Amino acid sequence: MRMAKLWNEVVDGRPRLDPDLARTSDHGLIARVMNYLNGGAPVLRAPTLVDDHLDPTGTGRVPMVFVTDGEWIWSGEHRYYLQHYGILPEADFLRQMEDHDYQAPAVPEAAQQRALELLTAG
Amino acid sequence: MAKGDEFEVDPAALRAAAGHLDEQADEVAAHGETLGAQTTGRVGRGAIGEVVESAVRRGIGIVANDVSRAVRKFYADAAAVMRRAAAETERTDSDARSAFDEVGADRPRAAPPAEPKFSSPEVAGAWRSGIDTRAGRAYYTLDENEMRAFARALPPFSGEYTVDMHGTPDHVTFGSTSFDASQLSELVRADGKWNSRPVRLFSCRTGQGDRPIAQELANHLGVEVTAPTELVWSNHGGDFFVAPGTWRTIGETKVFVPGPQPAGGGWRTLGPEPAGAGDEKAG
Repeated sequence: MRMAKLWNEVVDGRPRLDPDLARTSDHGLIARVMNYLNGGAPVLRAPTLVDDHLDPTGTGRVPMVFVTDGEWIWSGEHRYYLQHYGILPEADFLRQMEDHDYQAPAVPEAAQQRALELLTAG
Repeated sequence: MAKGDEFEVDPAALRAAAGHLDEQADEVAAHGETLGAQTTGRVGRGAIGEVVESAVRRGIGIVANDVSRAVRKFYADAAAVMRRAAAETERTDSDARSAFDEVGADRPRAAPPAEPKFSSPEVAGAWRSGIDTRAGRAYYTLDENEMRAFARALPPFSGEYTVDMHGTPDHVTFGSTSFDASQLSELVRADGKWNSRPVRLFSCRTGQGDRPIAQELANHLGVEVTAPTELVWSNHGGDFFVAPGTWRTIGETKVFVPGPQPAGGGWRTLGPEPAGAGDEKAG
């Protein structure tokens, strides 16, 4: 199971966007990827809205929720930064989406449990 | 009993629809959307079928869109009428029609009471979008279906009424609107299921700092309010814990995830203060 990339380092408490991630302005692609990201089985949440780390004025914007498709784990941040900045997930994850016609597959409970363990194994 | 092409109402489907309506009486509102999806199969056709169909669909519409106890009671009543209609359909279609007239007649008598009065359209809007949960009530926007699912999975806290929504130390948030303790107290009072029980805020950091929103809420409501001092997390199975967020490396990326849990569990209970205490008058 893999955690989708977003931030590659944290400096003074503020994360920096992974420079490997591509941006797009292709609305069709954004819609397809968003459709996949909006699926996935819920794993873990905290009822809080975290800041937009790319906009110093963007406090309290992003729901703290993690979901999985059984192979990848992603969060509300991946949806938010795709929707607002066109930031695409990494290529391997995009291939997974394409292979599934941009519809996240059904996930067995055991996969939700594995994702949970990965997120809380601190 | 109608046969072949004349068969207009399927009693088994009707009973199944009735079962959906009353088997989970307490959770009918919480499961409104799911119920709508599960029950939208046709239960009949033809003239009588249309009567039954429309009654069932009207019922699903109410379940999906309303959450009051009055409506749940109506639903239990409607389900009973549907069962009777199913039995009568097996005798004659005309009996089914008269049985379904009762569903329509029941509706005005059992209609929900007028909506409580709120101080602003924003609070009223949050109330209408709230969903009943096992623990109390949750306030998330329609597109936050995962947050709603997590809230539904959360078990009740014994003897307490739980409010589940996005929080900070000094306000809670519904959509893009922030509410203070006074507005939050309106949402609690509006819910007949509260019954003046102590309140549990399943809402991040609402118990953090010298004078968090949990204290103001306790003053407004006159009951104890228990709230998390850090982020509060819950999973798909309804397990929960309080823990600050921390940056960790998972695979090749940095992720903000739960850190070590605080000593004492991270919940704080605040009682109402005597009038005049603190910065704000007790409500």
